[in-house]
Amino acid sequence: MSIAVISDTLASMIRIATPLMLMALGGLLCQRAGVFNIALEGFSLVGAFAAIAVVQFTGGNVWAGLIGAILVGALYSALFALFITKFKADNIIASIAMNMLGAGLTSYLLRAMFGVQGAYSPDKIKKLEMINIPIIKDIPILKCISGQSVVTYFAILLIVVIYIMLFKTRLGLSICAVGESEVAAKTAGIKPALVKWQVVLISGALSGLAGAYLSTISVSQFSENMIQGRGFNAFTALVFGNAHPVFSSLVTLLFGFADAIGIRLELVGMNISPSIIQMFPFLFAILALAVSSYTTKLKVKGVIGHKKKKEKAA
Amino acid sequence: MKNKENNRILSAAGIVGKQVGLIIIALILATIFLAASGYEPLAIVNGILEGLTVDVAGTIRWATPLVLAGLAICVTYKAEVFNLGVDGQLYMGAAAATAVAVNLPKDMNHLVSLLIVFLAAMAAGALFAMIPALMKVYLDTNEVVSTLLLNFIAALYVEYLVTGPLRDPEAGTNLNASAVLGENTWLPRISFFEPSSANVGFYIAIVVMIILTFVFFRTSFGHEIKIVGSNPVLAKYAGMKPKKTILQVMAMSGAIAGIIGAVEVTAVQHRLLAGFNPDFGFDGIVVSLLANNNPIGVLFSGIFFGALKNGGINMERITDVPSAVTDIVTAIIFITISAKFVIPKLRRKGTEKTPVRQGGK
Amino acid sequence: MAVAVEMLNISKFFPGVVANDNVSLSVNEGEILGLIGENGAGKSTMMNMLYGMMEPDLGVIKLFGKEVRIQSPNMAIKLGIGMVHQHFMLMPNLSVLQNIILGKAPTKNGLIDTKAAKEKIQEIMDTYDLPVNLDEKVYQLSVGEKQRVEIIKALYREAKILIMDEPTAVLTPTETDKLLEVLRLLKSKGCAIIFITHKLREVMAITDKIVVMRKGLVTGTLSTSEANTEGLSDMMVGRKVNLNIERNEYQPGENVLEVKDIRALNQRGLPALNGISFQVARGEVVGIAGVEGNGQTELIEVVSGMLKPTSGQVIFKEKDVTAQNVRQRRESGMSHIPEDRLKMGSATNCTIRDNLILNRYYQKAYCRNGILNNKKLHDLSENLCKDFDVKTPDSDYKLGTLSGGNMQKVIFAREMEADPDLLIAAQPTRGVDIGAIESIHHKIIEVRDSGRGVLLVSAELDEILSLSDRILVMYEGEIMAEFKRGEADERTIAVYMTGAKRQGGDNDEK
Repeated sequence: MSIAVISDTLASMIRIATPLMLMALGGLLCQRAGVFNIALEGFSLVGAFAAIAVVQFTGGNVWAGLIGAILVGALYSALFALFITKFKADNIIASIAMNMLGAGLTSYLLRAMFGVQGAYSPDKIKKLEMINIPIIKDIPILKCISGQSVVTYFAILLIVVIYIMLFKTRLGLSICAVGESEVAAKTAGIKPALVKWQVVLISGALSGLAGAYLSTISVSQFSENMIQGRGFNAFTALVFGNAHPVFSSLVTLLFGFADAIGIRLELVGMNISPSIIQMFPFLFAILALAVSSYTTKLKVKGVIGHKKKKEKAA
Repeated sequence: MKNKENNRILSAAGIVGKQVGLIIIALILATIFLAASGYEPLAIVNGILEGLTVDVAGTIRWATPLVLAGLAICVTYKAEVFNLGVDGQLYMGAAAATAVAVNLPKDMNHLVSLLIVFLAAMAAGALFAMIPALMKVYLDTNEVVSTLLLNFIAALYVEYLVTGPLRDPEAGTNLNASAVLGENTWLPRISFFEPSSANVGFYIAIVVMIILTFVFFRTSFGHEIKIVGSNPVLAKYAGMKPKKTILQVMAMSGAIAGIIGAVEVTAVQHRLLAGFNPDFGFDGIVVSLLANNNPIGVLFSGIFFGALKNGGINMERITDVPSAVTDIVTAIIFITISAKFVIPKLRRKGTEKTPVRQGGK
Repeated sequence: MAVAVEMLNISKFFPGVVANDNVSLSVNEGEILGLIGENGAGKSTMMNMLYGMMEPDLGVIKLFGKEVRIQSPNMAIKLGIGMVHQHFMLMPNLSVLQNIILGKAPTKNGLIDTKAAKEKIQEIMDTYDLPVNLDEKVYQLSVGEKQRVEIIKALYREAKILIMDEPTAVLTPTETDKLLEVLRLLKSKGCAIIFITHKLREVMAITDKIVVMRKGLVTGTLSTSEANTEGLSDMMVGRKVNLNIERNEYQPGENVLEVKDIRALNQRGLPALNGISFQVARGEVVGIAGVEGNGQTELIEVVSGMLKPTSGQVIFKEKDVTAQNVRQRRESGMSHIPEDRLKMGSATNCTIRDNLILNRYYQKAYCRNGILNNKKLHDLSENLCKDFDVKTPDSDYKLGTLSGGNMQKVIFAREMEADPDLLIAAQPTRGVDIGAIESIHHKIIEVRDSGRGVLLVSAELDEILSLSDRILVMYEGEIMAEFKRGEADERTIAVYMTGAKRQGGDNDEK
């Protein structure tokens, strides 16, 4: 493989990983707060639709689309937050219901608003310029970082922001506390429901942005079920990444890499069915899931990791 | 004693009443939705009514996979296992059914070939369900995530089959499908409902329902499922083998999912089509939840959702109301079931029924 | 000194139960109030209302003379109330520091100011002699240290009123003494303390006044100087309780259980049992004393077959059963009343019958080819409910609708119905009322008198002393001492429980 090919593959890895990263960063906050959020899939689908709808109605303004998707994503996730806090809904069931509702709503609105079925491209769309970073854009291989969209750079910045928020601020401490023990957090004067609302809304907003990235930056259309399991992959990534912002983001890059390699193989003309290639990230996710649950199990059993200290009775 | 029977009937009626209430709420919301977006507001209600009166055939056609999916879900749910992989397992069942069916001699006895095809589908579904089950038992992997991921793998695998090894060489470039199966592997349709594709699969669903009811309420295995589901530590303490029970229920669930795949292939499409499954598995969760995970209830809630689905399709054909509105209704029912609404009045009644908390009676 | 807390004419109703009926109490600054009573007397409900976990239905709460409505723990904290819960409210995977500052972290530019927090906590630790390593994760701490963290947490929030809910239940005697010292220090600095317990010795040692509760009512308010333990226990129980049960003369038969040099790991993979050996004979109760968490749980799991030992043998009725599973052991005559009846012993959302038939549902007499004989199982469970006096209209009710004592009866019924040769009873009276305790103790002695063996594990020394024929003292997975009935008193045993001494061993100071 030539250096140019490597650089190209890495660049597409970053492109593919961007929406996963956004979803994982929001999802890991939920995970830390003890909210089992596999509704990322539905949140981002709604976001993807909202972005295209806003782009259509603003005459092609992608910026407005992105912001619209963030707002609509957060609004949609509010329903999830309402049910899991106020009505004590089972997280898993509520998540699946949100995914189902997202699929139903978007395909309904596709018909109701645009009168089409399957997919819709807005009449006009002013695509965002990719941003070239001086100096880096001329370094071989490393130049894969340059020439990405603004959303990608935002996602990378977000890794740092979420890291600081989670480990250095009051809110982060409250999030971790609620995830560990709701009762205990309550006795320390924290309102678990409020914390859950916050993390769910953040994950809704970020997933909305992820969906908008897919519909307005990756392509220029909304199609039914266009998220294609990316939300579940993002969830797997955050599980594998131990709900740590940096590790989880790195895992999304690995997922992106698995995908990019597949596309590369296809381009090279290797005789592999595209369906099999599309399986790569899922196979990788299953493997990641197995590894992470196995290491957790060993950790609990004390085979690896820390030792327990026992104080001698004085 | 009489009083107790009455109480029981009352509480059963209460549960059914609550579920019916949920359905009505969902339908009202959907109607408002339709009205707000300028469609005929009563379209969905009419569609369902039609499905339960004029077009029973269409309802039965859709109820068949939905009842089976609901049963596949309720088996595992009783043991507190979430099998969200029914969709993947039914794809694998369909793939196995097709692969076996196209290779059977065309002059083989009808019943024997059907039996072979269905057994293959059940085995494939069960085996595919073993992946998340074994991961759960031996690695403590959360089955919710693993089954969700495996669904995509199975769907892509079927896509691969019908574009590759199993592809019908005579099919047009736009159609990704296997060859049409030999007629000796077709599951008969119900002649009364011709020309609809309502088929004998419905009877199979009823048989599976009866078997499960028996297993749950009359067998020692059913008792084990119940105990494992409500307290696995107790199960272990009492000398049961919770891990084995989990593998067993997952295998059963996968096998039932396999039947769905086989029915869809051998009775409805008569060939394997990429993406033929409109997420029966997820609908199955609602079917089962609405029935309180009771197999007999699953039959009725499956028929309701069958009518809903059929009504939606008819509605779209006749009016221009998008059939996706049925997904919205389903999702609304889904999310409201998951909620634990506290209705103060009912609560107080509930505690009155509980036996004396302190002191004699 | 000024009055810190007044709870006046408080009533709290739960569906079908009056948890508190017109209860009043008050504490002054620099005073320790002992709040005593049996389980279910309503002490915790009172304190939960003071801490804002629930609100009273009737009555008034005044803090420093001002009437307040405490609607949440957050409000309670702001009003200067701190509570150390019986089950620690700590996050095991967070550091000590994080646990303490949670919800009240000092910030600088929006970020948590760790340095300022540490300084403030260091000051508290120095003032009250409460040393803890702030950077350690909470799960690494011992029970005593965790409690210290809880106290620091309350003081960090500037609590002037401290509620201690059964603080000594989980402590070793030495740790208890240390805690009492800390409480005295707090008192001298003007803190008002409410000390909940059912251990009368501690009440007498540390409190200034006492409120006794029974069944939701106050049965006595008196100053400690006028109180004596006998009077208090009468007020707590409401009648003379005879915990001295008549028993047949001690005539041990052949060994029913023999445990040889057992070693085993706990859930975290650390050594929990380090070479345990003992026997239980027919016609005797062998009591295992020790502070909780010293390997008792693992010992029972090994004997009952739930945990595989890493080495050693379990011999039951002269047969090596080490390799046998739970069901095989149960079938050959081993019964087990688990220490946690909710977590292990029962399925609360199943019916009483489902719970009662666990040893029987698969057996030939009740089940043919996997098909249950529901009629027979129904009769079996109805009879058991009757024989063991389970208070329920019939066995089709959910187990969760029963009270703790009745639930324990269901478990007892199930385990005794199997006609065991060995009964393992772990914490058999935990969380049940005094009447039930009496009947459970009678049952245990009945088992012994009928020529079976009983292995009793209990954290309550009284229970061990009153029931056992022989007493083994466990510490850190080893047996430190063995006594015959009447050979040792509470004090002697307590010394061995802390590992300070070992019989005939190298630690023996004599």
